[in-house]
Parts: sequence; structure tokens; C-alpha cells
Amino acid sequence: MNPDLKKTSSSSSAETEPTALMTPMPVWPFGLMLALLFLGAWYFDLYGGWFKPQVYSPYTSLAHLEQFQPPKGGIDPLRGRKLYLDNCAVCHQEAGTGNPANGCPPLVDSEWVKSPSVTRLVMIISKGMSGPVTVNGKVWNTGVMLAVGDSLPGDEAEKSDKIAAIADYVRYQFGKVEGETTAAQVQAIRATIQDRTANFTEAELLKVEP
Amino acid sequence: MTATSPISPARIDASCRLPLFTLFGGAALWLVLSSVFGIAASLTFHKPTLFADCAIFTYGRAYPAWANLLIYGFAIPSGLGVGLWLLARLGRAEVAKPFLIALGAKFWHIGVLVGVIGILSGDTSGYEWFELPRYAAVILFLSFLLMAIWIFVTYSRRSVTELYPSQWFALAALFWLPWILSTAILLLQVYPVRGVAQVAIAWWFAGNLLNVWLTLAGLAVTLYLLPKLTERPLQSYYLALFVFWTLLVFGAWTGIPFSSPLPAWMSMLSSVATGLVIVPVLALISIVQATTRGARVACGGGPLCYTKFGAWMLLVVTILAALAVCPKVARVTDFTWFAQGQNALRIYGFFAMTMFGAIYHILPRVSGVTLSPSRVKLHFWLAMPGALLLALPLLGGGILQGLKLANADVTFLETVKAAMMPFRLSTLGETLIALGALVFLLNILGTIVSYYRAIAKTAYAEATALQPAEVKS
Repeated sequence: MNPDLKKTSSSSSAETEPTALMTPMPVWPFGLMLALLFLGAWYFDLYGGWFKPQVYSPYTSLAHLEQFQPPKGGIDPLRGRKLYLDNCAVCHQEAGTGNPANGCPPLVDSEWVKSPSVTRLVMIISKGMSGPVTVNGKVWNTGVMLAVGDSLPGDEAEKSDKIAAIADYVRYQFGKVEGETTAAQVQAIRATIQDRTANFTEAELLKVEP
Repeated sequence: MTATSPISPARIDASCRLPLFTLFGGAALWLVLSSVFGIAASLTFHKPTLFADCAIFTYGRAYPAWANLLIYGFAIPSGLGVGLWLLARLGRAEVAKPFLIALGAKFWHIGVLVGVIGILSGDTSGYEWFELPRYAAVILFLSFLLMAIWIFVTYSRRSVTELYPSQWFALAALFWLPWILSTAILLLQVYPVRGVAQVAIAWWFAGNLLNVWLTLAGLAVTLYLLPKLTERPLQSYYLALFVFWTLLVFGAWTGIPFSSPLPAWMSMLSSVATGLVIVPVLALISIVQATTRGARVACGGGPLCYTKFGAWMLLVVTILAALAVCPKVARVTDFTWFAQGQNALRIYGFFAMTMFGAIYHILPRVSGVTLSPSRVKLHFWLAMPGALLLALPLLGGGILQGLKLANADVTFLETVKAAMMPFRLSTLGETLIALGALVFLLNILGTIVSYYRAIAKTAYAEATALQPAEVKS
């Protein structure tokens, strides 16, 4: 059947199939396996998160994961960001850079944003601002800011809560000032200016404690 | 069936001839093509604009073409062919329906062709090591079934009932692939599962394909050739049994990388299993050592060289894989070239070398045509340094890259540039592998051509010898 079968070199001598010795199994593979199984179980216990579907690497357990969760009931940066984007970003821009075209000053690194207390910021947001204002050494003349805070939907408590969220977001995002403003704080500030209808001016605001 | 009169090895070999020519010939051809795409994918990193105007050579297509041609084009057909020969030889049974197995192999190769055309035209499935589009995957699955059924029938017709370890491995490989392939096709392509479950299945499939299937198919022939070529008994049966079961039990869990976007328990279980695969591989190495110790057989670039090199590379890559899932190491090596280095070592270093050795052992027996030892040796001295030169720079470069990525003072671009020198070396390795693949293809085609030429000569001689007789009558 095979042409040139003679040419096949070693086929004649070694065509017996190999056999396997039935010598007993050494013990070390079992020892190694048990040792590695022990190590594996220990390793899984350390890093595996015990089949909890919420635990993803690099977290190792549900308790470990919870350490990294934001505290419950604290500032919700996303809420402040959403309110900012809905109400302020039209002029001040998403990145807080302001808009020279309509005379809107920047918020980034602005001394008004970075001021130690939140009072001035709440007053501006509540009643708006007009007239010349100096921001970062540059004078802005033409812009007028409306009373955005007053026109937010909801009753006085809800408005105050939203203004607090916006103020915290603006202060943290653009002024790198951390702090938590409560709705009650805002409500107290707004109570002092509640009858006012005109926008604030720079001169008036500068009289307030920064 | 014919237990009383054992079938001669020559008859068994002759019955394997047609399927093996089809499987090995196609595998060699795909290996050469795969290396071409491998080089193209590699060159993209040297000069990103090189293939900018040539869609099929862009990285996103050349890389999956390389990977899928390598696995579905080369690895599976060659592993299956070697397994078929082992089952027929060790069971002392002629191959059942060799024509149908060859037909299945043809369909398989058509499936690979369809798949690679799909990949090159941008129709990839997006799962690593399973980029084949659905229509190609289904062709592959059905043609695998066609081959596997008749290979299994061949096995069940064996005239020697007690099994040699190689038969377990070959049989397990025969059943493992339809299981994982059908799972992948059904859950990823026909009824895709949702969200992160997809990556879990894709990684499970790739892990089983690379870590279990390739190892099963490779070790089947390693355990056969070592005692055969050294003319000593395998030491020992029970150790081989231990390798077999621990490989199946632990290997099946591997594949999900450390930093995968999955619940931590999945990747951690997979890491533990990856570590445990060291057990069967160390046991294998002890079989290799005990079996070949004291045997005065020079390997001389022949099949024994390939087999031994392959077994040692399996040990190296298993240890590397186990290291790479340790959290401290993984934080450095994840998302770097390190994983590619491991894959190269596993596929080119272990599996392909083992298969080359096996095919160089089997092909002369099946065809009756002697291969020139110098050409087998030439292939060895291209493929072996090629595999090392491809894998080692990627492993080293991966660590370098990982350390730089973890350092906040180093910019990303500097990290990329730092990996360029190792990467150039790896392209050189890929080129050597491609040259080796070319030698392999020429060796196989040479054998097939000289077999048919001899047949034609005999037929011609018979025909010309008959004519005068016909004229007389």
C-alpha cells in the first residue's frame, strides 16, 4: 500500500507502542496540591469578597467596599452640578470660565467664590448683580445677572436648599473651597434681604462681611 | 473487532493518511498565513501609518486574523489529526470512514476561510480568541462534530481494550472542544447573554481553549512520544492519571484575568485555579524527567527536541501565569504586553512545538516518505528561537511597561516608547516563526506531493506495462 515504504527510516524497529509502568504514585504531588489548595482558600478568603456580587476588585469584602462609599446624607455633588448646569452654566459656562461676549465674569478662582463665608455668594445667587464688578483684577461692566435664586421653583425652604447645593458646588468646583452649607444657613441669609427687588451692586456687597 | 489478528501498524497508518494529509496540510497553510498577519499586526506598532490605507492589515483586523488562524486554523486541526492517529494506533484499529473525516476537515478549513474573510472584512465578534463571526463558528462546530464522531467510532472499534494515558488526553480533547465551542456559540452569538456575563463566558471559553484544550491535545502526544522515542516505558501510569484529572479539574476554572470588570470572586477563583495548574504541570515534568533519564537518545533537532522543549515551555508559562495572578504582580503586568508574551509562549513555545514534533514523527509513517532530518532540524532552529524571541521581549517589555505605567512621573507616551525596543525584538521573533512555518509548510507539502507522485509513477508504470498485453489479446 505504501509506496517507498522501505525509505521510512525507523518505522520497522520501533513500531511497538509505548507502555506505562504501574509504579505507585509518589506522594509529593498530593502534598503540593493540598498545600496549594490551602493557600488558594486563604487567598480567596482575603481577596475573593465571598461571592458578593457588589464586590469588585480591588475591593476585597463588602465592609472594605463600604469604607469608600460617600457618607450618607452629606453633600451630593451631582445634585449641585445639575442645578448649576440648569441655571448658571448658560452664562458662566460648564467650566465656570464666564463669557466675555455677554459680559459674564468667570467663577474659576474668582475672589467672590473663594471668600471665606458663603454669605455674599448666596446674596448674589438670590438677587442677581449688576454694575461694574472686579474679578481677578479685571473690571466687568456690561453684564447683568438676574435674580436666579429667587426664580428657582419651590417654596422658600426648597429654594434655600437648592441655593445651598449650587453654592457648595460652585465653591468646591471653581474655588477649591470645601464646606457644607445648610438650607437653614441660606434661609437665614435670605431672610435679611427678602424684601429687596433690585440687583446687588459691587459696592453694596463689599460692605458685607466676606 | 479483530482481536485475534492484530492489524499491522502500516495498515492503520494507511487508513489515517487521507484525513491527516487534509488536517496537517491545511494547518500548515493557516500557520503561514497567521504569521503573515502576526507580522502585519506587529509592524503597526513600529509605524502606525504603514497600513493606514489598507483596511485588512489594520491592527483591529490583522490581530484577530492572526489569533484565529493560529487557533482554529493551525492548533485545532493539528491537535485533532495527532489525536486521531494516536487513538487509531494505540487502539490498534483502522480509522473508521477516513473519507468522512477528511471531508469534515475540508469543511473545517472552509469554515476557517469564511471566518478569516469575515474578520478581515470587519465582521469580528469582538471576543478575544473567538473573533470568528457566527456563520463561521457554526460551520466549524458542525465540521468538528463530523470529524469527532468518526474519530470516536475509530476509538470504540479498538482491538486493545486497556487504555494508554495518551488515549485519555486525546479523548478528553475530543469532547472538551464541542462543549466549550457550543457554549460560546450559543451564549455569545446565538442567544447572547447580557452585560458583564458576556465577558465572563468569553474568558471562560478562551481559558478553556488555551489552558485546557491545547494542553490536553499537546500532552496526549508528549506522553506518547517520550517513551516511544527514548524506547523506555512511561513513568508512570498513575502519575499520568494524576496529571489528567488535576488538569481537567483545575484548568477548567482558569481564564478570567485578575483585573477583569467582574465581581471579585470570579477572578479570584480563576486566579486560585491558575495557581493550582502548577500541580499537574510539575507532575508532568517529573514524568518527562523519569521517563527520559538515562536514555541515551540524542534529540538532534528531531521530534524529541520539539517534545521536550514543548514540555519545558509549558512549565515556564504555567509558572508565569500563576505569578501574574498574584495581586502585587498583576498590578504591574495587567494591561501590558506581558499577557501577549504568555500567550506566545504557550501557543508557539509549548503547543506548536509539540505538534511539529508529533507531525514530523507521524507524517513519514503515514505517507511512507522520509523527511530529510536537516529540514526538520532547520525548522526546529527557526521555530525554537522564534518562539523565545517573540515571547521573552514581550514578557520583559510588559514588566517594564507596567512599572512605568504605575509611576505617575512618567508620561504615557514615554511608557509606549520604552516598550518599543523589546517590541522590535519580538517582531524579529515573529519573523523567525513565519520562516519556520514556511519550512513546515514546505516539509508537509513536499511529503504529500512525493507521496502522490510515487502513486502516479506506480500507476503509470502499471498502465504502460499493461498495454502490450492488451494489444496482444
